[in-house]
Amino acid sequence: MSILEVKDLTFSYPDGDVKRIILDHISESFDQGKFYAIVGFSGCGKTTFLSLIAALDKPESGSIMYQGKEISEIGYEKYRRNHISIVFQNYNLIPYMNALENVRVAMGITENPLGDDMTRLALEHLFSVGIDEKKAKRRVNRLSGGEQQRVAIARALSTNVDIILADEPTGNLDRKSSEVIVDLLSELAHQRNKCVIVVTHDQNVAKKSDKIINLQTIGMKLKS
Amino acid sequence: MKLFKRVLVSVLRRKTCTLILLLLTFLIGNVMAVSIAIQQSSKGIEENLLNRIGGKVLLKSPITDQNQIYALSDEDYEKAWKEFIDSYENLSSKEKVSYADIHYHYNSIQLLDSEKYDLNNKHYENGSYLHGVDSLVFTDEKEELLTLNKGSYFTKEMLDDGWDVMIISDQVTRDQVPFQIGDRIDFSLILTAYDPAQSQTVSVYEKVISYEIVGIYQQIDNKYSDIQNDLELFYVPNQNLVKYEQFAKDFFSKSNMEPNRDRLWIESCMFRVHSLLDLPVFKNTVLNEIEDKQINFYTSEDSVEGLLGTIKTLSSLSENVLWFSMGAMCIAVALVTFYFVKERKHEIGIYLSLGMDKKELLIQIVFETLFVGLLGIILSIGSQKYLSQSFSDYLVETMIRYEDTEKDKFVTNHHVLNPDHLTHEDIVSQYEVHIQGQDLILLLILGSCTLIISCLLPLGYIVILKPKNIMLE
Ligand SMILES: Nc1ncnc2c1ncn2[C@@H]1O[C@H](COP(=O)(O)OP(=O)(O)OP(=O)(O)O)[C@@H](O)[C@H]1O
Ligand SMILES: [Mg+2]
Repeated sequence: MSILEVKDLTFSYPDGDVKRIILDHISESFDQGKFYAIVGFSGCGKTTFLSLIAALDKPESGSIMYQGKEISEIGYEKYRRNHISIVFQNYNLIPYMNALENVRVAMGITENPLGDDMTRLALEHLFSVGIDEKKAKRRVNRLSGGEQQRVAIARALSTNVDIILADEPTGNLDRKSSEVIVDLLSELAHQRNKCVIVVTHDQNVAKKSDKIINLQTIGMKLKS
Repeated sequence: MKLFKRVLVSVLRRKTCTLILLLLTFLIGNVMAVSIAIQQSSKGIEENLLNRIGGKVLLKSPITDQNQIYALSDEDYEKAWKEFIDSYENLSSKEKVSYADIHYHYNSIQLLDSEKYDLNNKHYENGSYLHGVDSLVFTDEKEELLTLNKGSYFTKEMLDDGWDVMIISDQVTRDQVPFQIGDRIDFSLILTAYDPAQSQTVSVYEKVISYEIVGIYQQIDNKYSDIQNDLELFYVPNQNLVKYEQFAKDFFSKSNMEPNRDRLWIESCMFRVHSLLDLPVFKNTVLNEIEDKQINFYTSEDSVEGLLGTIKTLSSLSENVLWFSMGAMCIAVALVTFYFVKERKHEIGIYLSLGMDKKELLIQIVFETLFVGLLGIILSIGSQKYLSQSFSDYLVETMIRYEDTEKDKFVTNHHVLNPDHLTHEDIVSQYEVHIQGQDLILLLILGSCTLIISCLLPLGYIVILKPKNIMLE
């Protein structure tokens, strides 16, 4: 069974007096251990789609099921804290905390069992994405963009969820850093059996994915 | 990382916000603490004074001027006199009353030039008024105004039959007049009448009354005592004065002369209740008693009220200041936290996208505000001590000085108990502002409430925040 299933997902934004349909009856399923790339032209609704499966917004109709259960039934907040992690284009780390603390905050919110020594665990996660202890104790705004995104990935890892969502995770990074991040994400899918869904413009990212979902070909009908 | 750790990290790392909030609550906290301290101290001083003065009620006739008394018709005079004595007798037998006292005055008995002792030379102004008493033990002694040095009080027989006996002040003996118990002092009963022929008042009868000294008292300097601040020098039984007034009446009724109305009169009578707690009930009894009579009454509360006017004004002023400062703190803290919560929009979005319960987030904001705000208030407790004493000293001083100059322009209130003995200086010297444990708790409770209320604005903002709009823009 797919870990995440989207059926007939529809979403529109009000545009003046009319509704502008962005997502029109989209169905798709996602499995654990796979790396998905969502592509499509700018403005086609990639971020909108991600925000729906991240439970940051409500679909207009259709269903999103996590392990066969409606996420609205699980509860959006609970779903966010126990089943998914999101990696953003602009990293979204708490600026006055260091890397370690940023990871620890997330670990304090999830209800998933993590183990006893949270600090050691957090440091291990940071280490696995290439952040050593010295950098882990540095304020995040004194880390480079690539390093900050690694911290964000370590944070996503730390809560022990099945699904990792990312919106343009390499959008702000140079080519070299991008490659590191993409490798990390694909590693999460293939070695740690996560379901990784990445929205991207980057062809290199798409190339490394197991499946490319082109939003404009599956559902996009411009009805404006 | 759990709630408390997050609160701590946020408070310690976001220094600007913390410092601004700390400064704000410290400053306003000082104002709050000062106004609470002033209020509590005023309450304290009022209680203190009331306890010292005790629960007393003073009845006074509205007619105090001699000429007014003489101007009354016989009928009106009898009526007013009877009303007063009746009220006194009814009230003094009430069980709440610990003791009561009434003093008669009769002007027709005056100190006589004495051959043996040159008393007139000493100009005992008050000596011309004999001070009638009715009690076995002087109320003035119970009120700690005087203490009997030598001899004894009047016996019941002396009081009832109005003997020519006298208890005098040791001031008389101190003025180089070597009176001993058993000595006699001569007074003269002078009856006057209007002589149309000479068109003036002339003395028509004189009789020497020789009073035997049975006791000598010493005056005590007591500021907290009652009515009789100008101690009379010569105490005699009330009935003695009644006796001579009756004598005068009989004299004039037998002659056909037009008497100059020398009338027995009472300035006031005083009741002391067992405790201050009895005062409200007794006050009601008094109100019922004098309902439709021409009698005024005052209680120790009135007296304290009169004296504490300034301090009470200060107290109510500081109550207003307290509410105002709480309002100011509320608004200021609300705006500051709102501003900083808006600045932390991203952080809040992160918490929400990580799936934090909104309630927990709200609690975090409240805790952060309380943590810093209460710290500011607690710090202000330390500094308010010096502030409030000097500030309120200054206020009391200036207000009393102002009040005193204002007072000179008008007639002073002489109706209060103890009008002269307890001065404003006494009150200023007693006025000590200090904040006590319970006041601190009050301050912390009021402060916490204010801080929590001021969180409503930022909390409302968080409630309507949508993480998607912040995070995926
Ligand atoms: N809050 C909103 N209200 C109205 N329209 C919106 C809103 N957010 C996005 N849109 C519109 O919806 C469409 C889809 O937006 P979305 O952000 O999902 O596109 P995208 O595929 O992520 O684009 P990009 O590749 O540029 O990030 C766009 O045309 C956008 O203008
Ligand atoms: Mg987008």
